[in-house]
Amino acid sequence: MMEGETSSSRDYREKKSSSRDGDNVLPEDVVFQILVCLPVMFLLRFKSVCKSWRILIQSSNFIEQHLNHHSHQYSNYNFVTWSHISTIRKGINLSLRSGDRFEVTAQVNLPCLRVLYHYNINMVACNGIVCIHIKGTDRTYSKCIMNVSLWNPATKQYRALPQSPFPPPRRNDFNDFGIGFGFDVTTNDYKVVRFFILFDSPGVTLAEMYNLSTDSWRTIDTGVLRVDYIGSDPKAPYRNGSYCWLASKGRAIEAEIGEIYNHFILSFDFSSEVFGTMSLPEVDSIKFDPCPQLAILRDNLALITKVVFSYEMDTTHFEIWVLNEYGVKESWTKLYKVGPFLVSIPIGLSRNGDNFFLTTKFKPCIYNFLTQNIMYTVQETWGYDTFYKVAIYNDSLVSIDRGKGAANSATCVAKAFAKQYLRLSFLCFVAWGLIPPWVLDLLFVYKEYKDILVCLPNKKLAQKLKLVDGDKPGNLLMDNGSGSGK
Amino acid sequence: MKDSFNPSIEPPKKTVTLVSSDGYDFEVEEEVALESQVIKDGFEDKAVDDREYLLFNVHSDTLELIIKYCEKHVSSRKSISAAAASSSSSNGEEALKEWDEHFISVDTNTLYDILMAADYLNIKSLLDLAIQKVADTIHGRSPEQIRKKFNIENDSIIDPWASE
Repeated sequence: MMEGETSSSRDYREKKSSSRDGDNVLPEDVVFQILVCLPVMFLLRFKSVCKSWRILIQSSNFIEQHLNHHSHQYSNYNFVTWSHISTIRKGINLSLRSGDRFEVTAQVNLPCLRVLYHYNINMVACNGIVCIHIKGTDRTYSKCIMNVSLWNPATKQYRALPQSPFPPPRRNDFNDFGIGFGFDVTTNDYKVVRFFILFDSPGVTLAEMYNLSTDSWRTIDTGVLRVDYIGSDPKAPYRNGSYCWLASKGRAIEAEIGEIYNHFILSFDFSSEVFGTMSLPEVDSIKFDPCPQLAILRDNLALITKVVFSYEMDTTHFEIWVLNEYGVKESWTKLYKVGPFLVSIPIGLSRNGDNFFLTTKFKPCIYNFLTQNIMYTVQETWGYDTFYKVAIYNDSLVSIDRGKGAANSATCVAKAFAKQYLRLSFLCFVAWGLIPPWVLDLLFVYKEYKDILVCLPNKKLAQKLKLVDGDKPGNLLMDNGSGSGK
Repeated sequence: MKDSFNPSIEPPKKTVTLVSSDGYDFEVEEEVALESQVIKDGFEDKAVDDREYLLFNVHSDTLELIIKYCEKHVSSRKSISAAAASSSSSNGEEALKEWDEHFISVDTNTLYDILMAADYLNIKSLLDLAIQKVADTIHGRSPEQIRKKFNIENDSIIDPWASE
């Protein structure tokens, strides 16, 4: 229909390319979607691009969308390792290692461990937050000390949680304890759960929970479960909503070929705050293994059990079981049987289920189920005095600063403004001290106050400074800062 | 019933006219135009003989590309479902992915135009494709480069001690 106009196309194109710089502004929803695709590392850097980007990246809606967009990436797996900072008891260095070469991508030093003796560390990761739990005793080995902290390795936020107001049982009073960390979708809150199995009264008798939104601990009802021993845990909540521990009850029964353990799975639902149990498949490999290892594999619960191949050589096979349908005993399926490995301890599985982390002869290594190759490269970079846990970890922007797990955009803006205001006032307090209060008020109303900052001191204020002597600008600023006017 | 199936004579395809911002008309098949959610939403309200859409925000150069994309996706969707029906193995989806990859490998300005047009016309798959491409191109850039690329004014310069 418009055959005659083809010649104008080129002119238009030239015109378009020359004028396009002006209208090259993307709408906010498109910017939102572009930024959601990016990893946390870049987003932190892009916060300084402009104010609107900073506000966007810090908004709770964006943080949530970003988390959802990246939570299905199975390919990456991560280790959390720790080692002592130095030979004297100065503290512990906790590192997150990721990528093919397990390089340290983030680390934090845990201080104040000098008072701790005989400690052990456990950690759980959920939505990019690592919950670190340290249990130890004091010098006299009588008092139990427990520290819980949250760490977001991507944003480098670290936060020690307050001590529980309920005194932990004395060291000799409980024989085991469990800890879990997860997210409650119904209240949009992160929760830490901890329980103790007491010596004299069998079963879970003490449980307490921490809510991030209220920043406080409270006791919770454990029901009438009977648990005598808590073994491994998967280091991550099941689909973020519930936590599982491998538990057992009663004493092991002596049998001809070994001891039979009464293992089961103890679960805790973060929304309903109720403990429950699940059965394990009734097979010899699980019954005879004193400590099977729970794991998460492709968002399903998995179990690594040890099958002794030869007692003399201390060689073992490992079986990997997966619970395909949560709570359904019949859906346990054996995926692999691998080995034999010499003197080995299982550590965990990668999230996509391709890799198996274990130690053989005290060396950490990775076994690939698909290629059936074993990799020892890990230790070259790790050092010998390092301890390791495997985490289901994905970078996230989730904030542990305030409640609700994510930053509120309105408070962020206010905070950013207050921060800038303080810095500005520090910069220019000499000049500003001489300005009447109402001018200052105007300055803050005026949107482009940065321009004023540039020009004012040069002209009028410079003259004023010479005229007025002996005035104390600092005091004036304090008065003006309240914004009360004249 | 007999003449309802006659492979030699194809039924006349319904067409829709799309008018670009610089006044060019593009006549496209109905199902191709319906790839756009915006056109689909307004489709039923329009009279059959008045199916003309003025796209004020889309330049003819971009519209040409968009139509090319939609045509490709409509036709390959058909061939994929046909292959599935005849249970013959085909790597249609793989090929389409490759084609998409090639399609979106354009210079920044064109990419920007496609992105804006896909957003305006609400073509979900194309929008996702373009957004992923833009996200890939800004990987590892400095904030200054980003400002230049997106023509953003630096309004946070007064914060010289900005953390991160």
